[in-house]
Amino acid sequence: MARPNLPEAAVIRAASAVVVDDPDLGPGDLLAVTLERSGAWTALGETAATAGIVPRELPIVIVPDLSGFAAGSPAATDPTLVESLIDRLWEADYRRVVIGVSAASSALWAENRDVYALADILGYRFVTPAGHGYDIADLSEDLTPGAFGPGDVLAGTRLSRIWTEARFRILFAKNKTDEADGYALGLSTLLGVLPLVDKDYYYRLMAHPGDVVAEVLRATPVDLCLIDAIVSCHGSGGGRAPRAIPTHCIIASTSTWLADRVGAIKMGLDPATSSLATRSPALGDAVDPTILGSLDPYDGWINAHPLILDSTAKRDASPTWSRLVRPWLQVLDATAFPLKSPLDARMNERLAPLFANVDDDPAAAAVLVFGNYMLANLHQMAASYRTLYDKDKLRRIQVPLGFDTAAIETSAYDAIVPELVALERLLEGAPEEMPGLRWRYLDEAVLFDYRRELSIDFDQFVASVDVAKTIQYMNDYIGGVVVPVEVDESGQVVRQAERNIYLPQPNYLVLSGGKPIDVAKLEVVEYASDVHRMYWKTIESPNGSAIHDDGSVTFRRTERGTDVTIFGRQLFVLPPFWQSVNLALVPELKRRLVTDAYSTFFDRTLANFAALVEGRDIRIGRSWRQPDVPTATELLPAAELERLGKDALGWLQSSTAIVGEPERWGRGRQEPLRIDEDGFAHFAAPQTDARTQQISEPRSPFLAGAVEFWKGLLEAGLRDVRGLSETGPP
Amino acid sequence: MRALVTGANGLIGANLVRALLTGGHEVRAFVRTAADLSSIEGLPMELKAGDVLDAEALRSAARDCETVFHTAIPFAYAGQVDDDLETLAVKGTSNALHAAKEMGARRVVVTSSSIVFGYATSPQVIDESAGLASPDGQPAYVAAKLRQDRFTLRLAEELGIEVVLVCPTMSVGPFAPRLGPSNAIVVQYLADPFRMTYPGGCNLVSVEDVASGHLLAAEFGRSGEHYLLGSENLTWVEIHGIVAELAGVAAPRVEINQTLSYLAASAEEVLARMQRRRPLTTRDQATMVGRFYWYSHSRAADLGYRPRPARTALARAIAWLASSPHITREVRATMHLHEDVYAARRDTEARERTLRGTHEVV
Repeated sequence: MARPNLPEAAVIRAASAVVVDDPDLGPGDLLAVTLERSGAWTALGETAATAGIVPRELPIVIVPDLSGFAAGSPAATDPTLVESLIDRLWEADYRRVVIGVSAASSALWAENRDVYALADILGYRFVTPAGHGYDIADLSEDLTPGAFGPGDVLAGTRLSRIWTEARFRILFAKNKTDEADGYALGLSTLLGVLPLVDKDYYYRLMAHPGDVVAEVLRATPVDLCLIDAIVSCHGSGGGRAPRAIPTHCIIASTSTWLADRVGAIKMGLDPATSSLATRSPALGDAVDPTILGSLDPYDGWINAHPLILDSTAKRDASPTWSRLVRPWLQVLDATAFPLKSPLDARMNERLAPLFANVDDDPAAAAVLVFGNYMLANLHQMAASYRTLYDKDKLRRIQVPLGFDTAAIETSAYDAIVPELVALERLLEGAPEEMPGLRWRYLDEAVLFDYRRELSIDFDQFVASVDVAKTIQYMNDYIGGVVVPVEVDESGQVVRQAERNIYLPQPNYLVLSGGKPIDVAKLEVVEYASDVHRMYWKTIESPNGSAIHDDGSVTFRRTERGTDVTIFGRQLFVLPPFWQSVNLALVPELKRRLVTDAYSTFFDRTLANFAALVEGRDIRIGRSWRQPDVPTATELLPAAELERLGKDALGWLQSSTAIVGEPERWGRGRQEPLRIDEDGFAHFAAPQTDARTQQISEPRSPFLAGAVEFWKGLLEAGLRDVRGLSETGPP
Repeated sequence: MRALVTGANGLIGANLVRALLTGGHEVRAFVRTAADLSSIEGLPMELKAGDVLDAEALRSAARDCETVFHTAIPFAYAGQVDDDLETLAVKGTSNALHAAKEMGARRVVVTSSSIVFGYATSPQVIDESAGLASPDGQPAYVAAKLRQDRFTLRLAEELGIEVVLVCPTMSVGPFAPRLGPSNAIVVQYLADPFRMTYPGGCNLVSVEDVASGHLLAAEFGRSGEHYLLGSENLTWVEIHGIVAELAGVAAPRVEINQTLSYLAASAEEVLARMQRRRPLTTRDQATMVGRFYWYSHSRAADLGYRPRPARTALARAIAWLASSPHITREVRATMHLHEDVYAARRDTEARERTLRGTHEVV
């Protein structure tokens, strides 16, 4: 089914939202009023008419929030309200209604979290009180290619046919706070349409969740987003430790973005608090939605404390900590959802009650915040260490291109080469600071080139080092995406757009909060028989880490092999500490630091090129687990911890086990042969033959190893002292 | 001739197979059933799977072979149980000699090691006249080699079969499925951020020359004799300096003594154990610091043995190691190979093409 994919701004501009709050109305009536006021019936009718389908044949999917951990949980959409919606649809002759959901990460660590068991426990009965039957579909099944672009983080992701082929898509979110994002409404519920079970891993950690939901909404627009705020979930614990509050309200919008904005405003929150709203279109002159109803905050509402928000978000940036701690802190009905791991069960039993009500227990809140920050700092320390010394342990970063290549004018590409050629002219006469490297300042940026001849045949070199991929081959490239825009007659890319992420440069900046270099570029590639060249021009830096990062790379055939020249203009934003140190006042030091940074970076880049010719994999970092089935994921930290614990226990037991002749050591003291007149006990002399000694000495492998180590060290020391006076053969 | 090569996929074995094929000989390679054959993959030879501890399998493999080259004892200071080394050395050699005798082979060339002639504590050169060292107090590998040599000579006499023992020095070079202690010398230096070196020295030779030496010993060597197969005698400072120059990394910065070597080796052993890999160096090897493993190959030279200089041997080794998994991505990113390394790589590639191309035509 093909539907037009509208840009986010267009969707929100055409959107309207309603807030219906009437404590005198029952849930069903409140829903009926909401549907009426939101224009849902008009939208449904227009959709059916446009599709040329009678209402009873119009496929409709409803995706509710099923993230509750107990029957009747205020953290999940009320099933009776969902069933009431189905009844209303039936009454209007819309009968092809399916509830669609897919399991979440919790299915990996708790029992009964698969779609059907979960729906059953939460109260879905497959037939409404009015007697209308409905199905619940697992959206991780019957997958079909999603309409994601090559520059999307979800490129290649498949979606459930039920979701993609639905003519009318409804999200039915719960009104609740979230301890990491501030609130979890429609955008959070939208993650439930994605097929992979470990949603935290794939859609929050591997990719930025804001990018994920933006791409899902663009590929498969949602027609109606409802927020069940009849009984809401508030407080610092959010869905982890739900706290019910009656708010007698339902919010509805034809835009999920707008529904979340209205929902957040009703909570008294800045909608930008949530990481899911990162790509939410800005409201303003060009975006003017209609909002009906009161935006007054809910009475008695408690939001997550900023310290809890900040510390949890920082803790959850670590895949290890977030996946380890979540099952330990989740308040749940252990009878309905027993935890799979004994370790998780024990930890949950002890920790979850302690942090169940942090808003009324300042000590628990303080401990939680302290613990979160401690884990976050450990994660940050590990990341810094890995950036400096163990880059292969870093996680690769997945990002979308972030802009529409179709919106870039051809003239933007045409302007790149002349601009860079003019810049190259300005480097003439610059002194060589290191062999092959010269640079000078230009408008605070560093203008440089680095040249080296490699003794590798040009044809062999370019067969292994594709000039169009040079950015990916450079030192410290940790992630990015490239989208071809134009190819020549032989199929070689001549224009492309790229977003690349490098580790902080120089790497030691990570210790003072240096950000990864994140830049989006337009690139022009030229091929001739003896020269391959690529030019690039930065158009934006999504994280504000660079002002300039423009340049060119040239591979030229020489008699000895291949000449590589990299030219560039770079101006990166330093972290606050280094901004406060004005190195310009110590020019010799600054010159040395700049020279060292550039020579190190390009020495390693050239080594990467040579290694590519050798057929080596030069990419730093480790990739995320590629899913072959929806349940695939990395081993959960708790399982890893349990395995390590068993290993350690085994090692400890083997290391402390005393081996030898048990009767010689296990029986306690030896009986004396005789006791003399002075009271001294006399024992039998120890056996001296080697074999007997070997089996009679009580020894553990650990002890034996320690003795061997110290003996060896002593001997080495003695050899040093003797000044190599020992004589060996001959 | 038709030759059987035991341990054909090892560092010396794989190069020996190539030397034999280049010389126009027929090769039957004897390897373990589950052996990593990447070092000899695609070479035009006959492959026999079996264990040198299996006398019958070895006898079957030796059928119709004029010469048996017995290289199958791993050069390892770690990752082997001491008793296994001893068994492999003595029983494996016994089986090889019996198989050769029973199948009518003309001669057996047994790969021993220069280490059997001991070492000096001052810069002096040792030759075969020094006689075999005592195995007492030696690392397991050295003790196993010494027992193998004594046993081999005795058994050869008993069986009345021609045996020549070749004793390579520190052999570096291409084509090995695992990183042995000799190539590890190069890798260890490249991976060391402190660029440490140590007192003493060793004789360093290209494994390709060692392979040629095996052929010379087979054709011209005197039965019952040892032949040291080495090249140049260098100090560790010189060796590490050459490695630094060829790999384009920093020259040695600090010379550490025996105590520090021992501590560094201990740390490496612990680290390797934690990372579940083979250590690049061991405490056994650390005891060798400060000693001079310098040897003369004059006896082999009389057979026509002409090894390359140590620098060339290292260039060839680095050319291969740089593209092998034995050097990590991070270490490779710090290397800028010297022109001589590229030249060595081109030469090796050309030889491989010729070797495979010639036989493909045949």
